[in-house]
Amino acid sequence: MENLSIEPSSLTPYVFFDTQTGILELKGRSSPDNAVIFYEQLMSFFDKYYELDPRDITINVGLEYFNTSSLKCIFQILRRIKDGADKSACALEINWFYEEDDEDMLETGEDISALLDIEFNFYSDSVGIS
Amino acid sequence: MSSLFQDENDILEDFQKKIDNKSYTHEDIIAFKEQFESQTAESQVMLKISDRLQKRLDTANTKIKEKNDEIVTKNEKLNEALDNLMKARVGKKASTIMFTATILLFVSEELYVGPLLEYFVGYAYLILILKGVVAIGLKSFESVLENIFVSSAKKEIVKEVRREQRQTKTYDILEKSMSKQSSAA
Repeated sequence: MENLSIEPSSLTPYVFFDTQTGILELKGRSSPDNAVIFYEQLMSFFDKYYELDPRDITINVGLEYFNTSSLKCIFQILRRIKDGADKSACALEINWFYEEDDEDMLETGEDISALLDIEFNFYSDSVGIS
Repeated sequence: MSSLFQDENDILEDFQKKIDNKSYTHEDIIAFKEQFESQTAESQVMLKISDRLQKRLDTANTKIKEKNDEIVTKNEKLNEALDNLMKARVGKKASTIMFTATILLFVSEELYVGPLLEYFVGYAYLILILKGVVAIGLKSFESVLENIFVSSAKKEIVKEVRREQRQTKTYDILEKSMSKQSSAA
């Protein structure tokens, strides 16, 4: 399977998934006009990934801002990846990066972590997500 | 994921089919209830997060508005200061010209006009009256000079602004024609 790479824009985040290392990076801002269309490609990609060659995945999330539709889509993707990882007996690690003093983004990560029932690793800067 | 609520719609459709076929069991109802609970919990968290981010945006907007108001006030003060500075510079220029004119008039009066009047008319008070008229005239001359310089400086500013506006329009027209050409190609 080829890597997934989506260049960022003023409304959409940077997305990169390395199929060799199993690292997914999601960073920037997300407020596309149609979040479903944007995140659909990620959803289909990971459906295929778990069908063809499932491996351990590390997700690095470093978002500055996202709208409600994006939040729902991101949550659905994370849940889909979690279900895929559970079914394929693969490990899943989620690192949540937030800007220092951005308590809102930290709490958002904590809420998503609780809802997904996965322990997130929290880092208070963007170091490590390049 | 054809819609944002695909999962919710799928659950509803699935259960609707069971109702239509009258094929649901007690376990189906329990599963439906659990799914409903899960979706409600998800919605609650989403709302909580959205409200938090919305509040952050609202705070940022308020700060931007405050900064904007501050900039407008500072801009007004700056314009006022610039106006005063321009008037001061113009006044200085007018004073210099007037000072030169005064010296010239004084020298010419002392050397030529005064002795001539004294010789032909012979009244000392007439010379004093003439000096008074010249002094009052010089004050008016200073005001006229100031007005001329202020209006000239304002015309220069208007000209500069218009030149900038013309340049912006030209850039816009060029940009539009270039984008038309590229879309036609």
